[in-house]
Amino acid sequence: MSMRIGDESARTRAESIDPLLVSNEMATPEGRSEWRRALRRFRRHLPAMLGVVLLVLMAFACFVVVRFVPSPTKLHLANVYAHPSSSHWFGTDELGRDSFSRVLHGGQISLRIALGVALLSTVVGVVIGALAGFYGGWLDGLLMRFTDLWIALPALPILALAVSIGTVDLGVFGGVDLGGPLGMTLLLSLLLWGSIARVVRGATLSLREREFVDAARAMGASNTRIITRHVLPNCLGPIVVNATLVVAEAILVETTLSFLGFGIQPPTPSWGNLLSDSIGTFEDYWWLTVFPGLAIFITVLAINFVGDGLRDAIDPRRPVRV
Amino acid sequence: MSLLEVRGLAIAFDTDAGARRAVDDVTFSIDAAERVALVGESGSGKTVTGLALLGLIDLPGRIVEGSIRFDGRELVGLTEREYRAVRGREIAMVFQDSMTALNPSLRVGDQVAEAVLVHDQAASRASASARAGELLTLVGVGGADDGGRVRDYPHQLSGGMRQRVVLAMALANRPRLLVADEPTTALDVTTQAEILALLEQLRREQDLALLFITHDLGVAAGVADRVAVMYAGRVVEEAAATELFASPRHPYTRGLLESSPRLGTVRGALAAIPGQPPGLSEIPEGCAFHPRCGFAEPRCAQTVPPLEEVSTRHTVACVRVHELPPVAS
Repeated sequence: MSMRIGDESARTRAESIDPLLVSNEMATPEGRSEWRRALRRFRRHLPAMLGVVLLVLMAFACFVVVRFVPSPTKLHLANVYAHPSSSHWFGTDELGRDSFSRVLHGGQISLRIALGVALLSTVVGVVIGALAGFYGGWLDGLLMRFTDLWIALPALPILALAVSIGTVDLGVFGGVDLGGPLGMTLLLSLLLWGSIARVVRGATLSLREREFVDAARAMGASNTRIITRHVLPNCLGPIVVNATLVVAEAILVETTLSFLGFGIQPPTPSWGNLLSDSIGTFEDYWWLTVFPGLAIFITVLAINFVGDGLRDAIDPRRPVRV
Repeated sequence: MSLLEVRGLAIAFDTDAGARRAVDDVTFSIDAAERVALVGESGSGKTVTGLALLGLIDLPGRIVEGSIRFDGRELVGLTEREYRAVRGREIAMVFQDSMTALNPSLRVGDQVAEAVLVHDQAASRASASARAGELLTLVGVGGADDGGRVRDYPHQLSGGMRQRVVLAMALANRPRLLVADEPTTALDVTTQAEILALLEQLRREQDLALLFITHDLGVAAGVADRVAVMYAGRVVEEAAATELFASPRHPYTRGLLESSPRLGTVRGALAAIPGQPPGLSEIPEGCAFHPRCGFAEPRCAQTVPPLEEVSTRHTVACVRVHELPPVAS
């Protein structure tokens, strides 16, 4: 006898009505994996789905539409400070450059940096957090105090200082301009791995006490194997949520830096330097400030919605918002 | 020669009040394909003994005395790397709670394959998966071809099915000794019987020796050739299962059996052993059981009674063993 029950509530109902239906050796209902359940909860999360739609549109604009707009550095001195119109959707700037194009190109740079930072800082944070949490003892103390120290560093002055150094020689990686996109990615990653390290350490601390870790050890598994096969897959949820939020944070920090003049240097546009270049003329030429600002606002908000939705979806104890 | 010989094993845990022995002077042996049950209450040291066989005593615990010889080879003092080769391949362990003993984020097929890969890193994913399918079929969970549950996650399986998966993992590398720590305690009685039957069938097919750790005398009687009874970290009596249950000699064993209900007898109220087993930091001087023992004399509080052979392969640690009245049955 087999049964196929659509949703959890029906299954719970069946169990409460007739315990024989779910007795041991009988096929349990064709269940869903934890991930599929999480996906379902995520899909029901309205803000998160809105966030996904906005992000997809933003990415589409910055990586695809951007190929069909005028060059962001093409000057058109006869047409400076043009209002938004059908030929220049977001208007033009003081050099007659198309602002729509500049926002999209700037978005591409900002998004690339943010994704790179999320990836890199996650890798660093996961390694440090997993080592600290799994081995505990003095290693934990050392790594976590180091993390605390790192988190306590005042980020902006240090970044500003680093950027002002300019190009540094990173041996095999060659020279890297700390003010360029790659340098910015490296710098921000260095600053943002701390929260992920803490999250992973916390999750690892509780996971290493679980019986399946003992079972794996009793099977002869090495520590490396236990960490990679048994511990990390089980912290994937918090890692993903955190990485998402780091994307938003990276965008904001990069914007702040550029705004202060330490970030990506013109003429390469980034959302931050578009804002900083235009803020002085905001009262006369509002479109140069409002559109990049809106882009930042929408993107960061959407990412936070998605992060929220992921967190709710992955933690089954949180109620599902329908 | 015995497959496993444990001699004078003592395991201490560092506490705030100094080192305390959770296991002291434990000696027993297991022959190839023999079934031995280690019986005791919670805290009697039976689980710690089981873990010690696999070198899984973690700080603040450590083995302070004694030897564990497996197939003639001394295991105490092996490096972590050397011990890893023993775990799973020579001695495997099954844990109590099948829900927590399985990784919730791995499909059961992958989980069993993982057990194969741990010791055979040359094996391809595909061959490990195939072997996992075989093993799961062997334990009655079913392989990939016959509509089995290889692609299910642990939470999708019932307790009995999960314990079968755990057994499949334990058997993945054809160990010669299986340490089963209360493998059926978390299961209901019918499932328990099924798992025990499966365990016995696999044991016979694979020529496996079994150390069965349990607090359940009934289960011990059913699965074991020999039974060792532990109390406060020491073995107090060891005998063939039939003999132990027919004529227990140690007052503790007698108390345990008298406090178990038996079908078909009318005896009025069940007898109980007065008091509680001692905690790790309060183990009494002399025979640890004497404060609760109805037969205790002043000398019981003075020296720890050694295990003494009272009949063939039946040892008891009690100074008054020859003076005690026979068990009324």
